[in-house]
Amino acid sequence: MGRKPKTGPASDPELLILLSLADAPKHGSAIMNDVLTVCDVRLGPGTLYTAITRLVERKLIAPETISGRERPYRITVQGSKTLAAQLSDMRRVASIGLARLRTA
Amino acid sequence: MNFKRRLIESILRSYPVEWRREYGAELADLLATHTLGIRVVADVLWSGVQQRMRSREPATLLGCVAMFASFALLLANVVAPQPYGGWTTVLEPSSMTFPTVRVSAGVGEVFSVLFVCCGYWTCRHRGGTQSQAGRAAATVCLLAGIPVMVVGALMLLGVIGLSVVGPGGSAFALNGVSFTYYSANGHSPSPLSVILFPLSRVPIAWLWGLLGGHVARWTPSVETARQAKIRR
Repeated sequence: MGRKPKTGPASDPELLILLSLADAPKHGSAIMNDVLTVCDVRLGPGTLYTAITRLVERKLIAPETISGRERPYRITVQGSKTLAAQLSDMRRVASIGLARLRTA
Repeated sequence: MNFKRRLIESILRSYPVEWRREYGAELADLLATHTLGIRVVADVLWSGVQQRMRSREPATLLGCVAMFASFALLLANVVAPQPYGGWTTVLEPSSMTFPTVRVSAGVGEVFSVLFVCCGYWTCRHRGGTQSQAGRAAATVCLLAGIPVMVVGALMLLGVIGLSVVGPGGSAFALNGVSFTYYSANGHSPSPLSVILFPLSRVPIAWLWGLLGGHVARWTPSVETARQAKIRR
């Protein structure tokens, strides 16, 4: 159950997590706060870890090997490529949509 | 251990064991820093169900099948009631059980076989212990009983009406959403007894699950049989 104040591709939990990890590794709580601050989307703890599980399984992010309970996650090379591809698609769709709105 | 920690541990039980081993401590720490409102709890519980569906545990799979079957039967009772003694006679009065109402499918042999199979499957193919086999069967029983408990709760809240039908009586509801209850002596069940019946079956389901676990322990595995054949 995603608690998404916004809808659409920009509120997809997996995309938001990849976006949050793009600059530096973060643990679960830091990802939640970052997504809330940057994207104004409040991810529920369950939604967050469901998305993290899927991303780890798809090898788009990986847990850092450190001891302790708060494990940070980092984006993998494959994850960076996936994020870049998704953002490019979104930019292309956004530019087409905005151009059409301007001419309408 | 304070109440919040206990609550978090209870909520996290909705996730599969393997998942909890990997992410449970992290999620527990994250929840400990949050206010556990209804939305947060619902979010975590729903994610737990999703993870269980993905992990394909025997208890989840069989439980979901049983839950769907009981939901379909209850729905059929409401939208297309059959004559007295028809297959949509889901709930029936009983002087032999406590509470005094029982779910006809819940006491059938097929249902007991389902619990034994669940216990067997948990022990044999998932490498579970006897106690895990019992717990898996109890989980199936609880999942199967959820639609029945929901019907009981809706009866309690007055959302679903009740039409008591005796032999030869008309099965069709007269007005509104109504559950048809077939009773020869005109006995009307209390909503609480409907809610309680699935819970009362849990210990029996647990025992059937244990039996399935025992059967799994007694029967030689395919690998052992193959090795014995080679030796001969």
